[in-house]
Amino acid sequence: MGVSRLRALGAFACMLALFAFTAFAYTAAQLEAVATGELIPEINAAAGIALAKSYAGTKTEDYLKDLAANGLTIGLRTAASGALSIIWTGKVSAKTMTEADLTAIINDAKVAEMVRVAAIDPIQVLLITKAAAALKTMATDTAATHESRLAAAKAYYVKSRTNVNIVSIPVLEKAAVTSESAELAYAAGETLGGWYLSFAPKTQAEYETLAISGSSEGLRVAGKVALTPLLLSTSVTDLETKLLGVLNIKSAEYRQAYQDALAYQFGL
Amino acid sequence: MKRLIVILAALTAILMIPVAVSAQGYDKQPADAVIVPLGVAGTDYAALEPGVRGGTVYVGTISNPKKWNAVTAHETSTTQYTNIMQPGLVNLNPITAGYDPELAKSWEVSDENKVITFKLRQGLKWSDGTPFTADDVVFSFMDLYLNEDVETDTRDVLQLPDGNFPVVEKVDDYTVKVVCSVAFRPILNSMTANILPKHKLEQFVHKLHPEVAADAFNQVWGLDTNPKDLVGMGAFMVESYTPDLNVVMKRNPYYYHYDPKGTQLPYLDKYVVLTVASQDVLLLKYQNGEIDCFAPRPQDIPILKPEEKQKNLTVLVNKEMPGFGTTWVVLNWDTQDTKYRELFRNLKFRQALAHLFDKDTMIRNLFNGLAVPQWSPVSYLSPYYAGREKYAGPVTEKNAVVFPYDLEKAAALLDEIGLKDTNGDGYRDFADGTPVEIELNTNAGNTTREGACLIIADDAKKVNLKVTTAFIDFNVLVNRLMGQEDYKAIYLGLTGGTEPHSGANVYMSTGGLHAWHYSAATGDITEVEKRVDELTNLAAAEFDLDKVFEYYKEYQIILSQDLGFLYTINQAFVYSYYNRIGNAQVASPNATPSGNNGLTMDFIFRKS
Repeated sequence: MGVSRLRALGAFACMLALFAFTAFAYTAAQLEAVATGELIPEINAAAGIALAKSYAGTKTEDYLKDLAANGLTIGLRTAASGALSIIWTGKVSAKTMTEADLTAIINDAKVAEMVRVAAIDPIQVLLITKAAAALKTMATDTAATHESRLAAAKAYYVKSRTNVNIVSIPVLEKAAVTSESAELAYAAGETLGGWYLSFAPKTQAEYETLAISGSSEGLRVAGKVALTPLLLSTSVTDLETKLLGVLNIKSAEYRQAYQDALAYQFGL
Repeated sequence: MKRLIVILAALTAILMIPVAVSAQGYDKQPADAVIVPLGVAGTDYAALEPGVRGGTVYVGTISNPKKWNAVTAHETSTTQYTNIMQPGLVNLNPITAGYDPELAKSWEVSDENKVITFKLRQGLKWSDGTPFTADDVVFSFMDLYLNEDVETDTRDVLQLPDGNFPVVEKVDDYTVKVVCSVAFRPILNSMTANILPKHKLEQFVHKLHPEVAADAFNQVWGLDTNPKDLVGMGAFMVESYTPDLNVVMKRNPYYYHYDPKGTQLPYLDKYVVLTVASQDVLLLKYQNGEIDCFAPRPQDIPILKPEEKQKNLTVLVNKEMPGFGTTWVVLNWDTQDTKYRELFRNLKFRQALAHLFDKDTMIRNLFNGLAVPQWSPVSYLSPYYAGREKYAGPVTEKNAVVFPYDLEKAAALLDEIGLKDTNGDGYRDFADGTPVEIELNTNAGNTTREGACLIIADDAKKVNLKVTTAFIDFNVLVNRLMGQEDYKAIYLGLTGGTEPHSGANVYMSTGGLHAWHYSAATGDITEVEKRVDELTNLAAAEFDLDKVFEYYKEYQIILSQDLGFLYTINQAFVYSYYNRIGNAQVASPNATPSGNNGLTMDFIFRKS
């Protein structure tokens, strides 16, 4: 406990220096500094999320693959992964990257995790043309990688959203707890969060509680998805302070809500 | 007494302010240029802002265009481009939906509403630099729309109450006179018809050049046309077309709209429409930021809403405002199979089918409550909508023609007309024992329509009626609907507007899109169709809007009772755009940045 507190205090002191420019727009160099030197992982990663667009426009694909695999911090790996995702999305749109190309990346366990993560969004555009049943099968394929199953699970819930309605929110809630795979439960949780926000709103306190102590990852994800938009007006300083204060909360989803809000505030 | 009405049309919307600036195509701004008063207080455009030049806006669609020919087009997959390329004499105001002067700068109505004289804007040029004159207007109406050799639905909305057509005459190079044999109230609506370039197209008109085939014009400006040969007056022209990938439109250097600062419009250099396989793909592409503006369905909202602020986009939802247009199921009364032809012409069968439409479930499951049941051929937002108490009055739905979801009643009607399961397979058969099986088509990729078809088929099964579904390419579907291929049942939609006469091509017995019963045009006409024709003409000849409302009320009621179209659901207005697109907040049921009427494309812009 003592060590954690000292680290947190150290990080706070460090942040004060790094974030002396909080009132101003962030440059890529400033974000890179945060993504390189920040000690709190969520703040580090938030800077990486915000950097991705800049990296997509300035770095080569090979450089980004290497950085996503071997970057020294989660922030740099996140930045590189996000940039690859943007580049590959463009390639899919231009039809210069195929489902086979992306599958070779996302479903190869030997490929670095954050490179596989980069393929999740672009491949969905291609997966979505498959039947929902086929997507569900892919999302439960234990021979595939986690990222491959997650991409299929997300596509499955986009595809099958026409079967969801206000009355069936409890079905989604159940799916966020128990599904045929953890990835399907995660994607159900993401969908559920959107439903809460759009058609069955709860209070911020309820979303916080769900994100912290939801009984499954899926439910906590639902809380995170619904909570994040409510945090976007929070200042950088307050978000950073909050992230320092929640380091001892086990829920990664809860911390990610603040991380994503901070990334929004960092946004180039 | 001769009445002379000078219409200073849409004075509040379009200010004529000559501003000298250098333009890309014009040496100087034409004196008659349209100034769109973006941000000017006291105008319809006060809430918008002048933009900046440059950049590209990306939108998406799920259908390829069928052609580039505005005159012969029936489908929005084509008109979403031709409406941008070829404006009319008048155009709809994107904010008020009223009529604004477009290629015409003003008009006068005289001779008891039978003559309308348009003054054209001077100094304008086609996209290839050729001057625009009255000859182009006379050519478009007299040699194209009113030429029997030319296949066009526009002729239906030009037909006068006495069956004649207007005569469009050149007075001088910049004046045309439209002479009607009888007063014709919707004349301005008819004058929104696209104007085409005589210098490029007259060579294909048999009437002017007998050496070409009579139907030569109908083949002109197909998809194989070199885009350089397409000429228009609109904001953008097609630069390239790649099937199943995109249509790239580039700014027309001779466009004649300017902003109040003297900047020539459109602001954008390019307007790109991506063609994708389905609405699912569109949603993901929008989420990825690959397209800038998007018309989501209600089930997309839970996916977009959490990202609204993070991704700096806006999701507009107006539950109280259903959009223009109609969605319906149509049965083919002229299908080649005589048993089905007889069945579909039986009102009791159509009533049975109408009672199978579980609109509440459709609204709840497919639209998340963001829709209303639809019963009328006239758009809910029209002042003539018969759900209103009076012209432009409040909506009470007192006159609504409703076929409630009632499986027992549907089954009883099917029994009554002799459709029973004679072979014990669980499905009803014709009296001669042959099975009844109806294939219901809609356009593939439109998941809402696909979902509605599945609900209908499922409910049909509950009364032992076999309805199968097949989802096919939009343009193939249009061919079927146009009678070029046989079909049994189609689920589809039509665009709409405030003026019901714009549906004359659909609801009049001779209409080019009288989709359920084309043979009515050859004399096989029912009493309802006769009365609809009469009411259409009475409403077109009447200028007392309260009386027009009464005519259209009866028109809506009898059309709905007759079930030529079996109406389904009208979705509430939902739209989304990235906030990087300036002036996109103008989006409404009248006009959206990705809509098919092209009314906002010249003043949306990409923020720096």
